[in-house]
Amino acid sequence: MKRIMIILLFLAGCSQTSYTPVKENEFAAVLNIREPGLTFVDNDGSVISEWVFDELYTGGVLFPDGDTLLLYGTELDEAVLFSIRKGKELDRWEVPSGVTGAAYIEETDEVALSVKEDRSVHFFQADGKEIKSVRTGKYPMTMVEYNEKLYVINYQDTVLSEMNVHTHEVEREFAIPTSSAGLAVDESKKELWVGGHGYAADAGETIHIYSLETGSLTATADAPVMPVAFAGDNGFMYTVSHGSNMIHAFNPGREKVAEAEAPANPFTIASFAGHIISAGYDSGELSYYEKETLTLQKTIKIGEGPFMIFVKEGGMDGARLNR
Amino acid sequence: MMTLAKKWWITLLVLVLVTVGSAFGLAYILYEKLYVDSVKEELVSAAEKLAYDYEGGELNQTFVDQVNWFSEKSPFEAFAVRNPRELAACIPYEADYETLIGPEEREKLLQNKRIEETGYSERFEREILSVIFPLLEDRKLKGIIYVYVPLERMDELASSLIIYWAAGAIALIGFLLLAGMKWIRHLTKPLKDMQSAAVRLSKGDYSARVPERSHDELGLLARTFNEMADAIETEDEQRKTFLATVSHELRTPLSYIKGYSEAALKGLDGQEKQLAIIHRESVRMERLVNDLLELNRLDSGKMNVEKTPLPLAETVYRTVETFQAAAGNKKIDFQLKIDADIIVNGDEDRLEQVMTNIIDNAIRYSEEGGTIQMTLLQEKEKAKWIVRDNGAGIPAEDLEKVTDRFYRVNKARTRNDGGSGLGLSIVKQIVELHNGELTIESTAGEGTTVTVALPAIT
Repeated sequence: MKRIMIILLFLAGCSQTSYTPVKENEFAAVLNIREPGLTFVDNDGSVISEWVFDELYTGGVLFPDGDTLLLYGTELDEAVLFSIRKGKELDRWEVPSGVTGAAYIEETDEVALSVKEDRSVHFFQADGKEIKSVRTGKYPMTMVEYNEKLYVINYQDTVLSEMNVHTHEVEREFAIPTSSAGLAVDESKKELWVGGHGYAADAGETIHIYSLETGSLTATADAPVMPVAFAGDNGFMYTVSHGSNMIHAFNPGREKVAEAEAPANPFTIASFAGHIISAGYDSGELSYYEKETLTLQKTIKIGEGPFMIFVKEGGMDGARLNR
Repeated sequence: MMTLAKKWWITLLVLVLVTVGSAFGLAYILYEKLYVDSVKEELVSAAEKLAYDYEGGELNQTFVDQVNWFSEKSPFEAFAVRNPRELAACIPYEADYETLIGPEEREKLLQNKRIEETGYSERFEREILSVIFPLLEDRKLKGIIYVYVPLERMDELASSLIIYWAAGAIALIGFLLLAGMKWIRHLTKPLKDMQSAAVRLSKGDYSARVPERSHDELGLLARTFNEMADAIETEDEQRKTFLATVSHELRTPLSYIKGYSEAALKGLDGQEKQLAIIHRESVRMERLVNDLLELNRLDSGKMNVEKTPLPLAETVYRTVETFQAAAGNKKIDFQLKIDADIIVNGDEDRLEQVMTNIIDNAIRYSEEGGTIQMTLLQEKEKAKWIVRDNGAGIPAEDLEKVTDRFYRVNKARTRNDGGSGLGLSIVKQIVELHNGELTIESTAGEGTTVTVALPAIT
């Protein structure tokens, strides 16, 4: 019996693609789209490992265990779970096609997937079983979870939906500009930062900041052109503008204190082991910056079309999802 | 009915249309290649020169104004774009509106390659010829130079030419079709002539002929047709002559029989003589009819020739034997020189008939006390049987025709010699059935030599 088990395991191992395991305690994984894959880097700016995929994954979420990574593709009807430490596929979940965003809800140990086809957010248990789906708006996309609430940007709509993670009901809606993208919670001020591309041919230049208590616009911050992702760290908020290839740093008083040039056409930014990192979609480069001053420290070449960064043991705070 | 002329005309029509169409296509390709390409080159050069002015960094208003100024002064439309939304920078985000360039184009521009396009632009709502030049700093697409020219402007230029072209094409098509129709009529004329001639022939007018106009295949066909008509006419004449001759030949003995039998009935004197004449003439008639039947069988190919290996010498001896009495009456001497080893593949009865006819002739036309030399020899692969007499001989002008039916050398001598006039015809046919050859040589007054050459078995 034991022998059979070993053979079965061996066969199972053979049938699965395996990847180089990443055993480091600290890493940033960059999801590449133009040449599908993941590039793992450490905080010194060295590439630890590179994974190459056959399927095009357009986004994902790293679970709080820092090991399980869920990846989805807008054109796929499966979401795939990987173990980074073991370097192999764990599971495949059947999901609706047209997934555009994902969030892990720690309070309920559920995964929320936003789906553009049916304009809903679908909730899944940790074992991949779907519990519920709730309609939000046109093209739900970026999501962030904070304090038992899930905030969802409806990309082609003018509302942001606030959902209760226990009841899964939409409790409140915020009026936001269309083509909004990029969402972050400033925990210290209980504020929600919303970026965006701007409407039609007009490029957005402004970050809209909403009070989580009243749900109304409380401030704006200039971050030209097209701020689309945030990273929060130690009260500072960092934002990347892909239209102008710039990253901006805002102090806790919402004042812009620094800005720096980013790699070409950046869509993602993250706080990682004492640095701010951002990757350029057009150039395939990842740059490291000093916190607060945004002094460029290093730029390295990574995969083609980097689009999203997952960080383990970094600033996985307010801006867990950097889109 | 789809006449040949119609078919040719349709073929010509198709050919003309294809030719004119291809010429048009070719002209269009040339226009596209030469003219459009030259315009495209100018566009590229203009865009390139404008792009030279970009010195890196953010695209400022001065630069944009500069390009606008150029657009005003030049025949092309030109503008600079710095809005990242227009430059498809939001890909892979789904765009909610039509960007100026697509993701593939952006990719190409990022590689510092220019884009040349011809086609309908939704942005400008018309057909345009456009060139896009990237303004790059490192790998950052800071903006683009977009230079274009509406295609209508070029088409307008071409349309004036097209009118001339179309007029020319119509004139050409008209001319070619008219000329083609005449030419086809000219070409099919001999065929029509031939057809009507064939109709006349089939109705019994054997004098129908067609004019032999040309030296091509149709000319050749006309010539062959005329030869055929000649052959039919000759055959017809021969048939008529033959019939006339046969009637005539039959009528002579019949009139004898009729006359002498009437005399006998009336009880006139000399009954024995009368009966002898009636008997002689019936024998002649019988022979004539037999020969005719034989000839007819030979002609229609119904004659069975059963070929077996045959020692020819024996046949010669046997035949000569049957003539000993006749020859003795005329005191004719046979001189034989026979090679006994000769064997041919032949029908014994038929070959005996050949010999009988020839020896019969030789005796008949020899004077009393003449000599008939008979030789049988082998020359290479041929057995030759040669009969030479020193009798009356045949005049040169008749020699060719002696094998024709009812042809007699001495017309006056006609029926008194007793021959049917068909003997040599039969001989010739039988020899030919044996793949052999009949040769007759003669000098009038000196004698005749008949040679029958047959393939020998060696």
